[in-house]
Amino acid sequence: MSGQRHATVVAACTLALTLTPLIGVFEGLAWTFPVMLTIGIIALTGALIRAAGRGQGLQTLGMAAALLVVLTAGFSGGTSLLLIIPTPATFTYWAELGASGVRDIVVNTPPVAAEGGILFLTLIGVGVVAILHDMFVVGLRTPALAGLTLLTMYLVPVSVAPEATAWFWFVLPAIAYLWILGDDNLRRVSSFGHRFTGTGQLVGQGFPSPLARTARWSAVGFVTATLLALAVVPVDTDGLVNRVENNFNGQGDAYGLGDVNPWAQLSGSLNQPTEVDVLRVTTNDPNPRYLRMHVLDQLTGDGFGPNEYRGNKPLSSLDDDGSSGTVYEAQIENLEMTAPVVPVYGNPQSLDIEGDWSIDADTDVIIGDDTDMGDVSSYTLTYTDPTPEAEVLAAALGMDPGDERWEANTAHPNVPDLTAIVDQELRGANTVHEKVLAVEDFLSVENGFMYSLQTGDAGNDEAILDFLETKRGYCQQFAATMAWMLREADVAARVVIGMSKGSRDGESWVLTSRDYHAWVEVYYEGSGWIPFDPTPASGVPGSVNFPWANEPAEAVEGPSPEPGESAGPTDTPSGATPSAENPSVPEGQDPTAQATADAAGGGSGVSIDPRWLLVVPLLAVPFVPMLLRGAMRRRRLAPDRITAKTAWDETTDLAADFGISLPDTLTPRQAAGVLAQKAPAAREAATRLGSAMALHRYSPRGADPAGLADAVHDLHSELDKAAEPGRRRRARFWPASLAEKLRPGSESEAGSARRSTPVTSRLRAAMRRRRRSNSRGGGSVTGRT
Amino acid sequence: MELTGRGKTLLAVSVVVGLTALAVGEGDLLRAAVLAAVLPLGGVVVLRWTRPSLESNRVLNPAQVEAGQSTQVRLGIQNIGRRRPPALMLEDRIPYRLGNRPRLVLERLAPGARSVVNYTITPSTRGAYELGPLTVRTADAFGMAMAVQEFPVTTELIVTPRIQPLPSLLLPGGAGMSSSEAAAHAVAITGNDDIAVREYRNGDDMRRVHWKASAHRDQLMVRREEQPWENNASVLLDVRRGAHRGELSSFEWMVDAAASAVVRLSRDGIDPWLITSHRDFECRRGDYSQAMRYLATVNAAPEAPIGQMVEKAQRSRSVSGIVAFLGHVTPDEGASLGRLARRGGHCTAFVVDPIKWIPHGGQHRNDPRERAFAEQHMAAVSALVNAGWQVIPVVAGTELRRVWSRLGAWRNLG
Repeated sequence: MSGQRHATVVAACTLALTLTPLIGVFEGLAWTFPVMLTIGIIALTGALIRAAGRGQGLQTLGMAAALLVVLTAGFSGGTSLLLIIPTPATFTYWAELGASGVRDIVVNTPPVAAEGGILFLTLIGVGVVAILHDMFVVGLRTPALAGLTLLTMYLVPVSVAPEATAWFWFVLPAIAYLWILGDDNLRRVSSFGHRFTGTGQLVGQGFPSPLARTARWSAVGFVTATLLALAVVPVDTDGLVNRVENNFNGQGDAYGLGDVNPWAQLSGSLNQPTEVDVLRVTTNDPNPRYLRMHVLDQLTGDGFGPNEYRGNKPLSSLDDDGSSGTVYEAQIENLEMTAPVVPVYGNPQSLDIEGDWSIDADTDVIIGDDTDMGDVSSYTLTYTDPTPEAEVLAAALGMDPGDERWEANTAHPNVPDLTAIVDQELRGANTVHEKVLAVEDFLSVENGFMYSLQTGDAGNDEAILDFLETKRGYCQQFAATMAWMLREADVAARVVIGMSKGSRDGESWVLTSRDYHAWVEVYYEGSGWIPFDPTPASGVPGSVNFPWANEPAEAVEGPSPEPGESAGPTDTPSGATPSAENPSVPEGQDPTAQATADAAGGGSGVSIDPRWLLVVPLLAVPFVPMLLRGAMRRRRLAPDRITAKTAWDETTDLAADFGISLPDTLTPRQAAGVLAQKAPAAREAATRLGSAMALHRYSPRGADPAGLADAVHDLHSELDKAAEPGRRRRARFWPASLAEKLRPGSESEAGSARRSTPVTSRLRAAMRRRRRSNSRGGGSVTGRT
Repeated sequence: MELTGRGKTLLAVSVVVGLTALAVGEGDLLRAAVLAAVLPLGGVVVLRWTRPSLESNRVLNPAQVEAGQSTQVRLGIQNIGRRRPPALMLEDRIPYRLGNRPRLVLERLAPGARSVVNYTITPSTRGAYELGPLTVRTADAFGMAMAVQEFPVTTELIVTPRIQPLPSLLLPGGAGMSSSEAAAHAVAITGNDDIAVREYRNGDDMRRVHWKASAHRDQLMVRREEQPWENNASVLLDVRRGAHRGELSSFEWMVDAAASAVVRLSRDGIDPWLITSHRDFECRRGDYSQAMRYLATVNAAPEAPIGQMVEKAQRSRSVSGIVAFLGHVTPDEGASLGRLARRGGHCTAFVVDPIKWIPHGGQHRNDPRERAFAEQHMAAVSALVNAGWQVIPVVAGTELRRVWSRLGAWRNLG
């Protein structure tokens, strides 16, 4: 049927449209080719099997097999037969590939290069969704539920890529969904009967319908209304659960970092259930880094803490700073911040701010003299943000021990356990930079460290040792541990508290209470204090990857924004040519495979764990019995299949659904009488069905099936009207006839009839023919069906 | 106007997803939930906006057909509102036996415009059928909401029994003659003189005795009051429910046969008189429509004694022949029917064989009830034959046009 073919195309196209937000997740557009190929092949397989007149079960199996073939062709790792037939080794290889994909997802922040494990997982996901989608849209014709598969696909990108939360990413998936609904409705209406134009002219099925136009303008209206509804009506999406918890804990509304104990404030802000916009930054810096606020350079047994700030330099001294490089300007609008310090980027060149502010010479923190950020509505900052070359740092010395700041920045309590760990981990590291990278390596996800906000806000020696053992913590533990270990290795290091870069909102950046962050600064001779961030990027929204923290030889942090790293791999993973480079992949994956089990638990910093999305299709589960029952009814009453027997089967099943018992001893006419009693308005329909069945059984000519489908529908709606609400719901969502068929006892009869309907109906037809020829021969008719 | 199943599903999903979105604080999820809520609600609003006001009527052409012939139903739909509905789904409710419901889609019906759409139905069984009511559905563009409008007007369709082509009882070559010629010819072949006399029957007025003719023939003859200008034949139909077999299939056979006989006789210029226990119709000058309308809807009745039918048949002035379509008759009933034959003319009875109507393959031979039926049947048939009836037994599958030729004896009626 061309209608089905059309629906298949619509299903494939809508799924492709819904995948557009993935643009924000992957680098480049090379991923589109394998994804489109997968969708296309699955749709084609489904369409071909349908064209051959096979049932839904075979269609689903066929599409799954097609997905398997596509995956084998793309990711066999040399283990497949004839390129497309998977072997057991292929599945082993896939398990590894999938595991590495999960690891990559946890470690990397979007955009990522679409290759290897991530692409593999993407294709599996897209493939499975494509199968479900095709089933919902074409096979079962329940486009409302197809929304669930589209929702899943839409939420994957938006949950992992913060940039994708912009409203316009919503438009295409929404239009895709409306397209499905509109197209299905159009098909329904057009195939309702013969089509006439307003002038009484008969037109064919292919004639353009005026409904399409209505659908188009109402689609525009509905999407606009949705977007406006969310834009105009202030909706707090901060999560009811969290807010309740918040009220219970009685936490206040301060979204700043005070000087009493910056750590506690940091922890409090991060655990703050209500995410509040704190700052809005408009800058000409394409990649702003972190905003410094507090510097914690005093290390005691209680962990890092701030020294007493001394505002001993005036703001005007900023101009004297002789650093070079591009000067950026940032206008910072204060939304909710209260803090005695001014958040600034890099090396400030000038600061235009109300109130009385001065600079602490040791730490360059800009502190207020009886002035608080709460009094400032906005300020303007110019700054440079030097990017030291990794090579320069590698060659640079650390702080001269003779420096007056040396003592303060390397002092640490004596913790033997920690000393032992540092001695072991930094054995081969000689220069300052080697030590820094070794510590970052040690604290990396590859080494099993994971981001978790569940850790307490302690930073003392015990907490640090605890953290080293459990390998769970958030930025406080990561930063404090790194700085402590570096001081243990005689490197001048201190902890900085501030804000990460936040998320982009049009032209500006919005920094929320979740963007408070802690990182480390290490002193290099010649370059000064250089920031490093040991915290896993997955845990920090708006995390910045410092280019100097990577050594080209051993890149440990995910994809860096430098073009050199990403340009190479992105064009390789296209489905057509991957087998050539696949054999090289396993070597890269093997050593890290064991780490993936631990890493799988990560990613909790993202607002929704993508795995939760698997729950969304589960929403369809309550509808499954209804769908199966509906499919069975459609099959029985299909114009080319219907006989008095199938109509009667449907009638008895309806009776069972509505709890009307029809003993086997009743003749069809008696059974019809019982039904007519239960639903008096359907007496005529029940009688017609009963007498048709009686004719089918006893008459040599059989029964004419015309009108039986209408009779069944009328009987259904009348029974539905007559039933009590509870019974009606049960009949719809959990039909008793279906449960009876699934029960093992009745398997032999109902099960076989259900499984192989085409075969049995053909047999039945053949039997009927033979019976007719009997009667024509004048012989006696004794056979019953 | 109400939400469809799809609309309800979407609304339910919207509530679930929306609550989840608010609980976990996911704005994108909320956006999807709002869309899922806007769709059905917007659908209702759009539907309210585009829902038309309509008027409709239904015309049948023709309003009475023979079973197996088709009739055209014309539905006139007028848009009396100011909206232009994109598509109207029309469904005419017709009895299930007439087949699947006609469904039509009427698109772009301009305000004020009237459109006529038609469909054809081919009823296969006789009866009076109510066509209607017409249901008009309007849906929004996404199938979220549906407005149903019902027009309660119904139209009656009369389906007369299927008429089988029967061979003419007249002499070969007579088929092409006009009605009046046929009548004259019929008179001629009965051999009656211009001075019409007939033998004396009990109850005849002594003043009508034609003495000359009586002397000539040596038996009492009476003058006929009116000339048998046109030939008459009675068609008797047995409508007793209990007399018929096979879920009344023998009754249907008899009704069809009676209708065919009426039409054939009428065309042969022999004005048939259709008689049942309840009604009788005289078909003059080839107009048998009243009889057909009756036969379209006649039902087997529990109380319809043969006696009443015989009484009516005896009331007829002069009858050249009787064709009786009978169910199972008892010997008593056979005897009362036998009286009709005494009046002269040819009497032919098609009698249902109660045992052989549905062949059983012999396994019921020994059923005492069946045996009793068989004996009754045999006795009644012999009573009829003895009274001068020609008896033709009928079983399922008997074709009327084959046995009809056995009435060929009528060719030399008289």
